[in-house]
Amino acid sequence: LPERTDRDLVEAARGGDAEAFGLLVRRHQRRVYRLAVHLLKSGAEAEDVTQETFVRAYGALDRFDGRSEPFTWIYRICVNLSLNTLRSRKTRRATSPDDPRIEGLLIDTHPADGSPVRTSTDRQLGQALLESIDQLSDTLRTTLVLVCIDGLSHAEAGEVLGCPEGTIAWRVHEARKKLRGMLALRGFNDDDVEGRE
Amino acid sequence: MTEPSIKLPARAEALLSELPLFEPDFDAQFAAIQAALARAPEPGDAALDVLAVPDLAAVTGEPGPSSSVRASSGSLAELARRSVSKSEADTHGVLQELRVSTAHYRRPDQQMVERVRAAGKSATQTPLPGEEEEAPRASGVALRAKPDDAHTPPAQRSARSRQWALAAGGALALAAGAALLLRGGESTTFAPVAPAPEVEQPLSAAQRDEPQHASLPQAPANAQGELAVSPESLAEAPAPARTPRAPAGGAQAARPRTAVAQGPARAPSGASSIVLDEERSVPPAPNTSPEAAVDEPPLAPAHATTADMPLQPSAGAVSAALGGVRPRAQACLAGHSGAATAVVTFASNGTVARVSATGPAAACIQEALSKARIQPFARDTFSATTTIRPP
Repeated sequence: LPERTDRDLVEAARGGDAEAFGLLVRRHQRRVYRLAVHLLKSGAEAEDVTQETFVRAYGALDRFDGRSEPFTWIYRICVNLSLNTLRSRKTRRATSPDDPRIEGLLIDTHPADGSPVRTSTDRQLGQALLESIDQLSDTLRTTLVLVCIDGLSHAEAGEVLGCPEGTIAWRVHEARKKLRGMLALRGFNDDDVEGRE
Repeated sequence: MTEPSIKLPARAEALLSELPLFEPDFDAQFAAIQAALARAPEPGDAALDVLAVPDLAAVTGEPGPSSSVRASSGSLAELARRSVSKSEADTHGVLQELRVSTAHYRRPDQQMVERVRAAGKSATQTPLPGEEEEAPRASGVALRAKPDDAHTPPAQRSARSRQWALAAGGALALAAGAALLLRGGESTTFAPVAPAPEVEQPLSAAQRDEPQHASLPQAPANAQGELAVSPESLAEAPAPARTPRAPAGGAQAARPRTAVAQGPARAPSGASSIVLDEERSVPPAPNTSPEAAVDEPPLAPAHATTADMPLQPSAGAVSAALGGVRPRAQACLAGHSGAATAVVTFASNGTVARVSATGPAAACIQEALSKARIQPFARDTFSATTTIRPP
């Protein structure tokens, strides 16, 4: 049997096929979690948001009008829930005790070339990169995560965030510019930068 | 993914697209989601706020929708269609989308703001959305997307508009009143003139020559002795003679509506009064402009007492008299910073009958102003209010 598309699954779920919605969850669970982690910097909160995203999506299946892809529709729910969580925090913490990204850097088993020195440098670079991303505004960070980390196209990110592709492109450009500046301040110069504007 | 125009260092670029994450047990998470879905309401019962466009503040310099292809959810026509086709419960989400989609219309164009600033003018006194670098809630989008605003009933919004309109109208009326007062003799303001005494008195020679003036309502005389007459008071002018004295309340009610130039102390009832300002004396030219004349309160008919005695002192005479004693009064305020206001009441013989001063060195100022003298006049008293400022 050909693989059922997301739209097929949504249609089936609308008709009461719980298994179809389960498939949809399985298909996008990991990406939704990663998106939530990068926005929230907390594993526990990201898991809560992931679960809530699918629960809300299931409850709003009748509202899906088919103009966008189901996954961008689910992503939008995830972004909104993440932003709500961020804004409900009393303080905006710089680091989280259970930041899965930091843990991921520490246990990364795929160093660049296997040399210990390089691995250590990569960890430092990774930490600097994460700190720089966290210093971006919610708007730039969300856009950067969607496009540069999760790999969405500008059009898809535009559907998620409800803005034109041009705005997404501008935000990505701006976020990259800021990131490069912040990395340079941390000593990661662009001596090996392949191209410049 | 589109090729970026700005690249990070090569390792950072690679790391960005493959940032490692410590991942949880997705099977356990899936089970939890399934359990939550079993408890979840049926499709169609979800809260819809999470379906709206994410409430993200616009970044300074961010291009608007016109610069590129609009996202499908940004289509105003589509949003409008949805707003009428969806149920009431969906209204909030659609409204929020509409606000975000139209935010660029409310956002000041950065180039325009810079141009206005370069011209030396401030586009607005309030902070502009783009003034702070990426202020988290600085944009019009974020501010206008507050739920409270979204739920404000239209009636309440229109009431707010009416309040603003009323406030603006009041301010305009005050400004117009102040302008008329200034035009009508700089800061010199004439209080309504009390009617003449009941005594029938002969007309002066000049008045006999100009019989039409005898039936005109009395207007305050300026330095040149000319009259400012309003058409309304012409129509309502009673007979020149045997006019009964108006009751005190009538004169009070006829005071100008603009209380801007009213002195702190009111002239005695039934007496004429004039308000003088220290720096602004009587206007050099007669004030006979229709606007100013219409703004004058209804005036009592003119009466002449004797051929050589005016009904009341002219503003110029009062100003000159007070000007003569002003240096001495000002000397009382040496060392003080505030001004004093005094109401000087002249008796019909031209001497000062009473001085009421408020402010610093009141007693000294009263003493100084009591030396003023003017030409005798027919009325019982005549009051003038003046401001004394430190030398």
